[in-house]
Amino acid sequence: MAVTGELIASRRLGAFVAHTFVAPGIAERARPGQLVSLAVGDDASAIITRRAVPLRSVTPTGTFGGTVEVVLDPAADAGLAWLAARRAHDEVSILGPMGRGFPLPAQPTTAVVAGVGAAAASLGWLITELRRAGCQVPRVVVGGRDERGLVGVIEARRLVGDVVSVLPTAEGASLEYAMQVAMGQALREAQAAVVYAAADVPAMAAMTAAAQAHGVALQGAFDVAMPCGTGLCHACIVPVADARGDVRGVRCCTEGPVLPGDRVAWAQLMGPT
Amino acid sequence: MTAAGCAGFGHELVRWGGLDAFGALVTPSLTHEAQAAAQDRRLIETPSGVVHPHDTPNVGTQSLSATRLPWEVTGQTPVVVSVTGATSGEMADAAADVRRRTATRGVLGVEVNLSVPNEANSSRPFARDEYAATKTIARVREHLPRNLLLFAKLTVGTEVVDIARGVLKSGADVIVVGHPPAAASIDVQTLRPRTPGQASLAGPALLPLTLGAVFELRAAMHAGRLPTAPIVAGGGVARAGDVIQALASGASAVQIGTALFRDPLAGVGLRDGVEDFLSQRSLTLSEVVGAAHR
Repeated sequence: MAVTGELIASRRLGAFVAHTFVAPGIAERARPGQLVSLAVGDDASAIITRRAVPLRSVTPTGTFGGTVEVVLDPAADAGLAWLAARRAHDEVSILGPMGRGFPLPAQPTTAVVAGVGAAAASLGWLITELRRAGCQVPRVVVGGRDERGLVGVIEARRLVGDVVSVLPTAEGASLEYAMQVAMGQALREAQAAVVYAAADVPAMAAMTAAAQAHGVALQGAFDVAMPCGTGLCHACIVPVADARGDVRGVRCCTEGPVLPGDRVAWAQLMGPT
Repeated sequence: MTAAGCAGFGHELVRWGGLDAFGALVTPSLTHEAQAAAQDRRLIETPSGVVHPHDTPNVGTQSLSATRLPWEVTGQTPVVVSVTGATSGEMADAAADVRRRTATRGVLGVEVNLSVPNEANSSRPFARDEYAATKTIARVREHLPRNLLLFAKLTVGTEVVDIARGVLKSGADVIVVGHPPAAASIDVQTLRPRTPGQASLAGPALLPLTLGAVFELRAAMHAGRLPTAPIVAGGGVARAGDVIQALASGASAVQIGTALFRDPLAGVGLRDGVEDFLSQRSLTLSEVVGAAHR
């Protein structure tokens, strides 16, 4: 659904900016992991594509009607910087909710939840929904490029208690490697049956490797550039194998962003290393 | 009309209610055989435009079936099937598939994308080679019934009048200008191209080039240097004012492409904007078409 959303609240969240928009109709239908597509600039803008970003949370009913909250990384590109610089009462064209959210398990189970950077913002909402479905979430792993890039740690600590913060190490280990180690440790200690993750491609690959090493399924919300958010531009393709092993390109914005990690053709996605 | 490759087979626009505003949907360019993309499709943003790779996967015309058309969803909106290929023979085969495999159900016409490299001529694009363009259109025309419109899509910034003359002589009904010009973007960190392979520039930055090509073609028609034929302006049309400019330059219709990436309802806004313009000025559409030449 397409709405013109008024920005009613904005706050800094470490290196990121959290915006709350009035978006009636979108908030009521959205699920954790789903996206909204935000227009950048006005009709005369030199940036002609949109930005599809994950929802941090929604409030279907409130003083202002349905509201949606998103977390933006102004350092990522000029379009997100423009969106992050909006102030109260500015209006932005919003499309949503888009894509496939996190599939909640049919039976209560034990899940580890993990996220990296701004993508981790939606994990609090996901944890709440998992709990509502009777699932246990014994541990949350949150990664960031630096201290200011850690999102949702306090919220996760309030909800779960056992939260591991992951940063690139002083010894030179990458964030991806550190996430893989932390995920492996979490899976050993928590005896989880499923991992829910939200991260960029390199970190998702690392977490998927850890999950596969422990024989655990991973559902991952991919944090990739999505220039239209409606499935028209085909620029957010992730190669995914079907049950027969045939690989086809899946549009993250409409057919994702949540994809099963074991179905992703990682070698093709990561390219030559 | 929608522009090839920017509206898929209509499913996304139908979902947003944005297809009704269009007189026709142009499908993504289809080759005779299905093709996978050799690289990831990435859009590189540039001021008022995007650089996008040519290399896009397609299902191939061989996979078409009259009982299960990929554009079934478009309903009342007619479809123009875009075909392309590495040789004139491949393009003719693709057109033959469209006729044979779809029984032309829901098909208004076939658009031949002539901007691709011609394998038979050192990869020189068809749209830059009058002989190859003329021959290709003639071969495609042989496979299509006369009641099916044949659109020849040329590249802006080429010898567009000469090429247009050739394709109109060999059976094209409509000239489309045009396919976006070749472009590149370099990663300043690695000093490597950000879109390996061939890429094009699309977006509002192209509008003056499109208008220039349309104006030149219509002027040539007025001067008797080119047979009179409808012109479709495609490239950079994003606002109602752009549509008016294209019509005044001599276009009979416009194609909307990357504007749909920004707003899937762009067609509705443009249609309403043009209607407002006409009613405010008490003009008809035919009075605007070619007005800049009077």
